[in-house]
Amino acid sequence: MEINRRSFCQLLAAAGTASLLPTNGLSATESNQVAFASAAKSNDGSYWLAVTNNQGREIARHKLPGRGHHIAVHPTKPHVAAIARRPDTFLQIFDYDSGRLVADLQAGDDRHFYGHCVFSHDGQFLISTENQLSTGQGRVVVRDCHQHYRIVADFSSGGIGPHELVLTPDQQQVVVANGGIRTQGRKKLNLDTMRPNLSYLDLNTGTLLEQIEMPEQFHQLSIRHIDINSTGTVAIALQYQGALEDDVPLVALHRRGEQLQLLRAPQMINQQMKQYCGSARFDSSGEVVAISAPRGDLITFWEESSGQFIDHIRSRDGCGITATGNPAEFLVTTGTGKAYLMNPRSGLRNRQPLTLETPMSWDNHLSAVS
Amino acid sequence: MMLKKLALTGALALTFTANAAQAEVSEAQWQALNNAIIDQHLMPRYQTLSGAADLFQQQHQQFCQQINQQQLTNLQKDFRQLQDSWQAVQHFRFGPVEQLMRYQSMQFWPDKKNLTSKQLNKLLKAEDHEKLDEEFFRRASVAVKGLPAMERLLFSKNALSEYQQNQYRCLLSQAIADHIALVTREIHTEWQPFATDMKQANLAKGFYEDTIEASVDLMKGLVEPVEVIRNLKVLRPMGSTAAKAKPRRTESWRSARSLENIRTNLKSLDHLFQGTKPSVKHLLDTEHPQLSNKLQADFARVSQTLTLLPAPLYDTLETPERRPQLEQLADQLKSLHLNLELAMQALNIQLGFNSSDGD
Repeated sequence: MEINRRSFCQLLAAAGTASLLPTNGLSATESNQVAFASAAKSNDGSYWLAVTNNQGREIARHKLPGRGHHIAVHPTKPHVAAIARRPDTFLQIFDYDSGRLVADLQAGDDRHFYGHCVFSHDGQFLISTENQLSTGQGRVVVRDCHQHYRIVADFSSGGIGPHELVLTPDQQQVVVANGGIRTQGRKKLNLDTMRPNLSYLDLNTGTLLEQIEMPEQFHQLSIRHIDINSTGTVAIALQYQGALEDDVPLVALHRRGEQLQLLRAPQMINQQMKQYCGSARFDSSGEVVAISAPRGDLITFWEESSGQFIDHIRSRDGCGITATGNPAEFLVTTGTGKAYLMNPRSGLRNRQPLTLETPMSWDNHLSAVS
Repeated sequence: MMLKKLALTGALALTFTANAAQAEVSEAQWQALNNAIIDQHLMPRYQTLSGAADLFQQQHQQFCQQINQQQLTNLQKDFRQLQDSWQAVQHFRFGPVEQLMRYQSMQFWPDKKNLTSKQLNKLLKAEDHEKLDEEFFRRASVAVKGLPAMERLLFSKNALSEYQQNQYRCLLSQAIADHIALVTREIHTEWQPFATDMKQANLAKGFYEDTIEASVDLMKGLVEPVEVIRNLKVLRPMGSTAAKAKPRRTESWRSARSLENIRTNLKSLDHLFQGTKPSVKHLLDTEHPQLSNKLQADFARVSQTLTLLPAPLYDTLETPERRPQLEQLADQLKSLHLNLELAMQALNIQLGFNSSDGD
């Protein structure tokens, strides 16, 4: 096992520098792949955290107490954080190298998680979105990884139903997608009055620095999944809570100090997305955004600079997305247990081999491990 | 906590070792099953649906020419037949029926905000004669395009006098009947190339990459509806006691078909499980005879309970002495669903997540 672990790390290292070293000994296809971590469901209905190497081979799996959602990857240690989806309360830190459960945490009293957390780039903090049940207010909670995940800050998320969160490139601010939906368990309570927003908060003080509300006529467009590139542009995947036949934008971009830029795919595609986007990710260059529409069985691609729709690529129940090291290229995972490399510029759509102990249905989010 | 780690060396390169011990169902067997289900189960049902919608459309024209009680009764009968043929194929949520919002347009239900009534009343009030073309239906709310809207018009308390007194009502009603006929015809027509694609599933072309991917869609049609029927058609209207029952939450209560719908659904699912040649049951028989028998018994039990339950469900829900039977039905559906899930596990079919449960 020692040897295997070491060779795994070497492979990871090779993958990280693949673009700099064209003759690194790996074949073209292999060097394109990324090691990844994802929440998953096995065929017997149990929920897992699974980690693969950059050859799509499973290197670790860990049984979760319930359904996970997004997996946060520690920037330097072989640690990943699996956080419960609404309305569960577990937060587990797992070492995929040793197979050890590093920490088994619970949301505090009167709290549950929303399935998303992130590590700060220096690896010191783990930041999550939470619901304060008694008030229905969204919270952002900061845990110190160096102090046994002690809570060191706990502030308002700036809205109701916070979902995904990302840190700005300078690591000083946290951007929160406040979905706007007040929930009890899995039940939605305020669809008629919901008002989602995107909030920029000072990570050190919790001060609200900027807040963009969804315009009134689109108040049922829930802001749920976001990503940010190195210039601070936020890409947003929306979910519409109104009527199925309404023609609404399902994608948005935002830059500090500017208006929300709402985007529609060409009509037939926009309709096929079924008012539901699952995940948003920038590519390695930060110039291309991938937005998954799992209910429409497709991934849409957008140009960051112009907001132009680039193309869509078919993907049955595809939702999890992560950037590979190559510009415009993404790895996409599906609820039917598959993985694809996609590139809207070249039209690439290649099924990737996965070698797993038992088949897994990949949950909504995918994270590159490096 | 549990850790499984695979070595990177070639020694453990066997994929899915846990299943290697069982004899796997071959791709050829799945292919044969897909073909059988498409030819013997799915296509005939879409054809029947389209035929019933055509008939209903024609009968509706006659009705509008001569509005009387006899004609209304006849049309109501044809409507029930149309609704039955939809219920018999309602379990498939993929392919042409999922395009262009057709599924929701055929039956917008459950209608938690009473949109069907609100949208219909708006249209009846406006009496915009110019509007009732296909362009109108492209833009119209899904709530007014399909069977629930039709049912509301045909089975309202004073349906006959309302039709007699308001000419526009017949125009709107006819337009909806025309639209249903068009949509069901499109579904059936588009299914023909789609079926070919599904039968020849391969990576290079078409929607399906391989045979199993096509099988997964068909198997979803067998497993997921059982849970939907239990939750939406039985438990949701049931409430915790007879006094707390919500009969208006039953499906098709206006046409008094709530129970008949469930019977039709289960009959169809039973056929999908064991009525085709070869069948899902055949695949299970060799390696998993016990599970196969359990499922057969589950279907028989549910069917018997449904036969013994008195219609209409609307009244049965509020009858305290019938509650144990309803609870039994819910339990039996749960057992059926569980065993179907086990069957999919045994057959190595990954249904994935329930797509309606997003986050």
